Amino acid sequence: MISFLVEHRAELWLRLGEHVGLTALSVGLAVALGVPLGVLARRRPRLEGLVLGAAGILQTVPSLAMLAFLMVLLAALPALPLVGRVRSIGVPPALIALTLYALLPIIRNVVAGLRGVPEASLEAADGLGMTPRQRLRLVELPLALPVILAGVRTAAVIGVGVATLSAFIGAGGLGEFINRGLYLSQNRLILLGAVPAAWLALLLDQALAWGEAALMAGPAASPARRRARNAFALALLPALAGGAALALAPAESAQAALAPVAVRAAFTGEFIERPDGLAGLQAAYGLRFPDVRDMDESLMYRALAQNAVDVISVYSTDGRLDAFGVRLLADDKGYFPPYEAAAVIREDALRRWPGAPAALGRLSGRLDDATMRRLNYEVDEKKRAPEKVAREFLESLGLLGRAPRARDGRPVVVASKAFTEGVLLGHMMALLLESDGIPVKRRFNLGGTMIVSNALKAGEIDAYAEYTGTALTAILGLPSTPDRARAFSTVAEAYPERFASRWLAPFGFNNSYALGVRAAEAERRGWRTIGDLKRPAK
Amino acid sequence: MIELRGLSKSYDGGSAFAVKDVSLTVKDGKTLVLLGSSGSGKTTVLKMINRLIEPTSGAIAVDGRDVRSQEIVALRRSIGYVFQRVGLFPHMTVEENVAVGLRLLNRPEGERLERARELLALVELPPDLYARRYPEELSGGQAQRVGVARALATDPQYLLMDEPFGALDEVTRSSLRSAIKGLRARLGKTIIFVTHDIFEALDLGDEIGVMHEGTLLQLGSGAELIRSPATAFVEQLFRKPAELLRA
Repeated sequence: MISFLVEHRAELWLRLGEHVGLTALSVGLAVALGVPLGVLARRRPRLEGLVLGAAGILQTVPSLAMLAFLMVLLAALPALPLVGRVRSIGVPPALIALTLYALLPIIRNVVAGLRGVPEASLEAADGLGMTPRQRLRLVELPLALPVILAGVRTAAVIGVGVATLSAFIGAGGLGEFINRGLYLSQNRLILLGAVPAAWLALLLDQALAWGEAALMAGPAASPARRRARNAFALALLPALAGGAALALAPAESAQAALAPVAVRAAFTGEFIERPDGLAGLQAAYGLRFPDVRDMDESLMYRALAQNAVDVISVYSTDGRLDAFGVRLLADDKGYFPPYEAAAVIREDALRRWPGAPAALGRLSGRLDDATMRRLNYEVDEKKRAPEKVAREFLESLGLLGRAPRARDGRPVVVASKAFTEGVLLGHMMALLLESDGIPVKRRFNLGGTMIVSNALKAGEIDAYAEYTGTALTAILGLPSTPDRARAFSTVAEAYPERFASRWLAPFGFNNSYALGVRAAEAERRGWRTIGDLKRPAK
Repeated sequence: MIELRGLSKSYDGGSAFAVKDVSLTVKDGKTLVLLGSSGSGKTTVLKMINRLIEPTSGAIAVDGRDVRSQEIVALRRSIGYVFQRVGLFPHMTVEENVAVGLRLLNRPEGERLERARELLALVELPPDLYARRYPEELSGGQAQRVGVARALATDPQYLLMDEPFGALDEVTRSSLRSAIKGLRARLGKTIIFVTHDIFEALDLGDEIGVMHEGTLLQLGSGAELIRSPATAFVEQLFRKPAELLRA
């Protein structure tokens, strides 16, 4: 654990700084935007419903959807005067999304705060001859301040939470660790992101609560109140400024010895952290990606197509490869292990249903790379229901029988990870079992490798489709091998003891990790293999 | 001099009047008391003078100038106003409250605070004790003294006082009344004072205007009102002081 912390120390500070910076900048922007909007809403009752309604709707948009939408929007935006082209990935969309989320609590509290100003104070302000602006500055805002600050506090705490999602589009922050940890069997990585994030939220909440109390403290402590107010400002400002500076400062790389390549890369959190992922790849090819963004799989294809990045990490059977015009770079050094998909099933389920291997075995060797890619494409791009695609495919092969009535008994719990191919394979496995009269319970779209393999071990699920390379390196923590047969035999031998489960014969395709580039760019720069990336840009 | 001519206010386009056809003149250095029960329109008259409420018809002149021709902020700054609900700003200290009118005029802070202390002494609140307090640390009577000091800060010639002692007990009221009388004698302000308390009216008013249901029933000195009430209502109103006078 200690060595783990030491190893990640530099990155922890970096991510923490990015996180605080993103939160502070967005809350600052939301205050700059929300206070005038709140004042306007209070002044014009007809606008109040509109402003609060709009901010409320923004709040309900799921964070990931908001980030994806902003990416598309920013990419479509023409270059602006002064700022130029706004980047469609990384900090700008994250900052905009966080600011939009922070608006509602701030506007709402500005309106509530202004509404709470005593009528007698307003009348006195008018009667003394204050202009509307003086009344706002000298009376209304100061009296509303504690309520406004409570809104800022809410916004900041929400911001710390939402900022963890910014990692999906390469904006950095503590979400990087959470992302990577979620995809992998790495609790420590999740904690490395989650614990400081929770800590940060509590700390920020406390600091702002302190500030709030300093502003609201009884007049009996009025000299103390002033002191606290000053101390609060002094303590908070450098903290925020420091965080902002850190967030904007470029990240430094630890692997200066390797030759940097002149491409912008976007990789999934899983790829960055996995033992068979980025670090090994860089070492194997003697190159280094100086500009790497951690991005969600659902966003990176668009980012590549929009020329926001040049290289992405992909699965070789992904249906979107063709749709987005992605060319795969050949792994000429044989770095990536084989990832043959196969059904894994618990032995106690096999004892209950001895016919299960035969039912599932009908799919063995029937799915090649091209077929799998086509099926993925049906779901990912044609937006068809995975169950329907799976059923059609099995029927076209004549693998589905008459589907007799299910026999009585404890069903086989079939699971899948939360990505298209896993869900498709899950459906196929379930349908095959059912066509032989074996009762099935479906538990699809589970979080990731770690969650599914733990559930298998605990007996909460009975069967799912796993990949040899993933099991070998990420789950069992064994060294990688380029040899297909050896990878399979290694995991097949380990599973009975480790997971009380058995590997059935592979389905036939190899869904390897691969690096993808724009086909046109590959043509232009003569990229065929991963090693070709080292060529200087013309 | 403050002059009201045919002043009326209706909130429903003329079918009912909160104030109807009120005309009166307050000479410089004099105090006029508007006396009436709640809803008689006296506060409405007061608020129309510094345009917190705009009249439906009629005219108001301060120093011979129609108030509608004046810039509203400048007009209000030239007239001190003491509110029924006091309306001290809870986030400002007593001295900041008193000096707030000077702040609006962008006077330097030193001058503001010096003036605040002077005024606090004038309303019999020792500045060393009270200047740094917050309004919630004051009793009702002390708060209203601060309200009076605030109205005096820019040294306006005119003071409008809207039932300033309405919510206070009798002992405090009488002590504040004598404070006001002392101020008036020293500063020579022209005052319009609104109250529903007949003894307060007799004590403070050079002239008393009796208001009822929006109209001004009678205007005259206290002695005149007692001696020759114009209506049965006025007679009824002044019966008790008249009896006391006779006894």
